[in-house]
Amino acid sequence: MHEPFSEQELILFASTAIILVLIILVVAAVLIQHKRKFHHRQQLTDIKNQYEKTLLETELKIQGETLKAISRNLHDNIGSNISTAMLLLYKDDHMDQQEFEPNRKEAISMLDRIVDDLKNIARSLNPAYLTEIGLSEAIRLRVQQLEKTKKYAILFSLNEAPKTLDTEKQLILFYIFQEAINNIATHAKATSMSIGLQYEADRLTMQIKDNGKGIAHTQNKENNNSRGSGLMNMKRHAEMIQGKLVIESTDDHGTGIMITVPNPYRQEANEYTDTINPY
Amino acid sequence: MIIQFLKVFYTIIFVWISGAAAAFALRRLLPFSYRMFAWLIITLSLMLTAAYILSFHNIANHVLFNVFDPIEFFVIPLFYYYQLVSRRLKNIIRVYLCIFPIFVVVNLIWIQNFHQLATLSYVAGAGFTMLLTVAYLWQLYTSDDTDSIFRDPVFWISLAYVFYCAVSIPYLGMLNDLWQKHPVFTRQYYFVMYYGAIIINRIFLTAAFICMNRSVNRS
Repeated sequence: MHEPFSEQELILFASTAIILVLIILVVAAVLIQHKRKFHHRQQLTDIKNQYEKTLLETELKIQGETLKAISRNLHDNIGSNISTAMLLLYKDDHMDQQEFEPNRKEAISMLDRIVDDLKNIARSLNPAYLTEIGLSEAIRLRVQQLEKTKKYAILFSLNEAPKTLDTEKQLILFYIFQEAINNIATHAKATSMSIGLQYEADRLTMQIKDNGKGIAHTQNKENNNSRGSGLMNMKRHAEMIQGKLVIESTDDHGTGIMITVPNPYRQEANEYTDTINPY
Repeated sequence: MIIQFLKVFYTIIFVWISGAAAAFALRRLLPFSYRMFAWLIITLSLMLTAAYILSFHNIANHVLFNVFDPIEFFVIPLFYYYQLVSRRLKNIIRVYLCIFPIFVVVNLIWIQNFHQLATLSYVAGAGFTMLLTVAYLWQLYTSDDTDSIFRDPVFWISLAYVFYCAVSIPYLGMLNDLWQKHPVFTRQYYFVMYYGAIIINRIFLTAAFICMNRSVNRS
């Protein structure tokens, strides 16, 4: 019987086929691995872009809120203080120097306060002011502004930060603080609030409490979700910096917001992508 | 006659294209290893043209391959010496570069002689080259670098040689014996399998030289 191929020919075919199959497997493995790496890089880039976008939005929101606060401050405090100072400095014809002296001193101290307020405004208009003055100082200034409105009794407590805070985490925390204060001002109808910043070696806890109506009551009455979406935003931002946000609220007994952020301090370079978990 | 020649040895067109791509790449300022490789491909293109012309006129051309195959499989491992990062592999290449020329001379003088194709030298050189191409692919596999491998000239060179060697090692290794016992099959296999391997090899080499041009343009 005639054989289609000799033994040598079969050896040639078989050895070539085996080598080719092995080579194809190796090349396929390299290509699959490359595709995986490429996909992973794409994901990292997307996450980074999304993170930077949210950060930018946060920065813009903070700037917007700062401008609003400045506007209120100019109108409510500085404007009325200047008017009062002008009135105090007005010297009647039948007023002698001795009578006028207390008015003059009061006006001067008022003008001193106005100058301080204007300095604070000038500082807060600087886009990098949060980074420059730090989270604690920014919150303290905001608390001072709130106190001047005389709408709230504010209890403010903080301890000293052991290290410099991470810039981005600081920005997000200040955004959450501002959002919480806005919620209180807009919805809670509170008369007092307590604000606390507790720095520890490996974490930072920020607490904001009010004695207002509570979240459920507010939402039922106002029949909108604006406060709900604000709270969701705060949670989303907290997750971006691996923070844990807890909200406690009871009807007519106020709302408490507590955020705990692990490792909030400035870290070595290139750890950025590993520590951020935007969503 | 030229048409007749091109009909039989049409793979020479791919050889010329890769040679032209290598010459084109040499216009740029390339690293030493790339320049060396480009010169090798130009030389081999000229050698293959000469070998095909000899074959077309029924003149034995194995002497050309006996001379240029060892050069090819000396230069390619030297090229990989610059591309691989593993110190152990670099040491192995150093040892190979010392031993291989000695083996080629010994094979040509005492084992297979000049009268036939030096298949042992070919198998040794091509086998080692194939191992180096696989080593480079493994290097890409384990690398943390996320740049596209399709823009890496060495990736294309590795693909070119891994497939070429996979087909040519068994065939050329057995060629002397096959040619004596099964000349018809050997000739048919040459025109189908070996031609296919040459075409793939030269297409990938052309891609490698295009990548060299692009990478130089980008930098």
